[in-house]
Amino acid sequence: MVPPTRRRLLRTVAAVATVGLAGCSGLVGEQSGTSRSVSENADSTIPGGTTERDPETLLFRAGTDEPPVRIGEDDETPVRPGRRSSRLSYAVIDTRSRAEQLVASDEVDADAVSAFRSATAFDSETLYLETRRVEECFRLRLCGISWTAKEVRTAYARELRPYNERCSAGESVYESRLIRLPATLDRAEVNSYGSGTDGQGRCHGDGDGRRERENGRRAPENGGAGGDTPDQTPAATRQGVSE
Amino acid sequence: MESDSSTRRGFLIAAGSVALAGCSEREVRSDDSEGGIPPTRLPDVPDEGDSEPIVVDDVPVDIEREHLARAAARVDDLLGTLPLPLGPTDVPNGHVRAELLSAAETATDRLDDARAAGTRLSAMLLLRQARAEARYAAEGWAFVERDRTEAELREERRAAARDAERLRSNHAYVGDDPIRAAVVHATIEETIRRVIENRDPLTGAAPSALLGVAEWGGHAERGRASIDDSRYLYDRFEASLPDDAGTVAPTLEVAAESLTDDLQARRESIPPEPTASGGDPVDRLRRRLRRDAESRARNAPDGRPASTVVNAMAAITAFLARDRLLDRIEDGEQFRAESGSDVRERRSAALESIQTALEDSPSPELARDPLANAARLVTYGDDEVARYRRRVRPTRLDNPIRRYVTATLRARSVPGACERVVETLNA
Repeated sequence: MVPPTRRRLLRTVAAVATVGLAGCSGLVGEQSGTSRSVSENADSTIPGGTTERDPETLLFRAGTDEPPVRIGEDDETPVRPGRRSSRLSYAVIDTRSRAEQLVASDEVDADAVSAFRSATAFDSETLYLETRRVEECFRLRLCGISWTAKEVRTAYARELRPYNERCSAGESVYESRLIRLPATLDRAEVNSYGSGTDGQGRCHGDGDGRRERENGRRAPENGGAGGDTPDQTPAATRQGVSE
Repeated sequence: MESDSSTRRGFLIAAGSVALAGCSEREVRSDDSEGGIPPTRLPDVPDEGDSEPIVVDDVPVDIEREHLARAAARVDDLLGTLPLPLGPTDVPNGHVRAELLSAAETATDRLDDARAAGTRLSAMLLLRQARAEARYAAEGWAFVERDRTEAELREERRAAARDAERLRSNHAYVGDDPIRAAVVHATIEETIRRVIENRDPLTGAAPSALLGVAEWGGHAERGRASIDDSRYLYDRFEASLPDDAGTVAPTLEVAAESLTDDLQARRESIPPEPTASGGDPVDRLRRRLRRDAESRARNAPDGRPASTVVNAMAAITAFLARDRLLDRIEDGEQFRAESGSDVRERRSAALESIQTALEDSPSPELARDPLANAARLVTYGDDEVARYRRRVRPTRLDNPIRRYVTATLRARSVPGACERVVETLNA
């Protein structure tokens, strides 16, 4: 059965799922969308916070039952099948020992996770792990991340994948991102998380050429909104990592 | 095939066949006290989306079957370019494929709807939609197969807009009967206006290059079809006139000016609304009917005399409908269902009023447009009623009640408004 299409639904509305997490406690958690709103762009900016539009990021994407990367500790809330489509999970990783608990699923390049972890200076940097579900024929582009000592917020643009990349309408996959923040956050202090997505594929203040590495590979350079050309040969090196 | 139980009607027949035997209104009211109105007591409406308006748009021009057949053939030709069934080897991205298939399916549906349409004008409008949807799918596929670019289609759409500008500047208001001429010329004016004003597709930015091409393909086709139809209607109308038919332009312009003044006066004399006093359904109806009247009076088309006349007909209808509403409020009506029969009665009243108004209006041609709107309103109410398969609280029926009541008020106001417009045109 063909699922409802954009044309069948309201054609002009860019649905943006905004997850308002103010007051969420927990260092590792997940949250289903609690409200929906419509906006031109999803904005990650927290007033008074620091915003990074192009953070060092490692992206893993997998059509598996489990997130491709997760924190393998006891207090992590498992992602429950059946309710996962609107699920968001997130974790502040503020120490190397905690980073050692990162678990990569079989489908992803565990070496890339190790290398990213090793290259992180936890005395001046923090890792932020966020996992989102996205329809298989789409992908998320990180527009930016904003943080204060108590809050972290991300913004994404949802983009349609090129027409000649095979995918099924109605299926969804996980996208996990390890984001390196140039700041020290104390996970015990962070109690509020948020994430928004622009359904029309635009970032607030768009026009950049930012790219992320996907499954340890660089995402396609021509993969912005409107890209219908398949992925190019993955680049061998990570972009913008300070060793 | 859909089983009986999957349709509301089938479901209700199964559920209610026993319960309804010997059922009287008294028994139903006792049901109400147990928690809501049983769906079997609601109007017997078609399934959601299947309700058809009893009056549809028309134009007093003899549209030939051949013209419609040409449009249908165009749809077939466009769909014929697609390698249906479109599979993953053709378009691997399932979402993109679904968009193209959905458009092709909609084109076929509109083609079928056109064949069953109540009037030739409705068929023409449906075929226009079918052409746009078919072209969307065809151009999406042309992107894959022939590297079709958005630029080519944007240029095609711009050419249609230039044609529309030319049609507008050359538009001669030929006619012998000013009423018939007003309706025909207004239909053409409105079609041309849309081509001129809707430069871009209404959907906003497409999420990919392929779908952008598809979107512009549909938009270009809609523009082209609108031009084809406008030219056809104009030529066909002109050909139907006697040789000595002159221009109705001065008549339409004078009438347009007079009716615009009339609406302005009505707008200025409308008293401020009392602060909310009559409870929710009453206040909402009052607000909506006032807003409808005011916005129609305010948004009179400028520089298009035929459209101004036809719009004035709808605007005066809206003012008169508001007056009727105030009378009913004064009589203490609450516009909230207490039983299923209240909903049935409101719906029947709307349908009867629409039918009667078409017969009673001094000009059915002029009356048709606001009556087609009222008839559409009834179908929206039907769609809302169709959603209920279980007992429903009376307040949940406020929306369909409001739609049925509004349709009734408007329909009953149409003959009076029509009389006013006819008088002005014949003055």
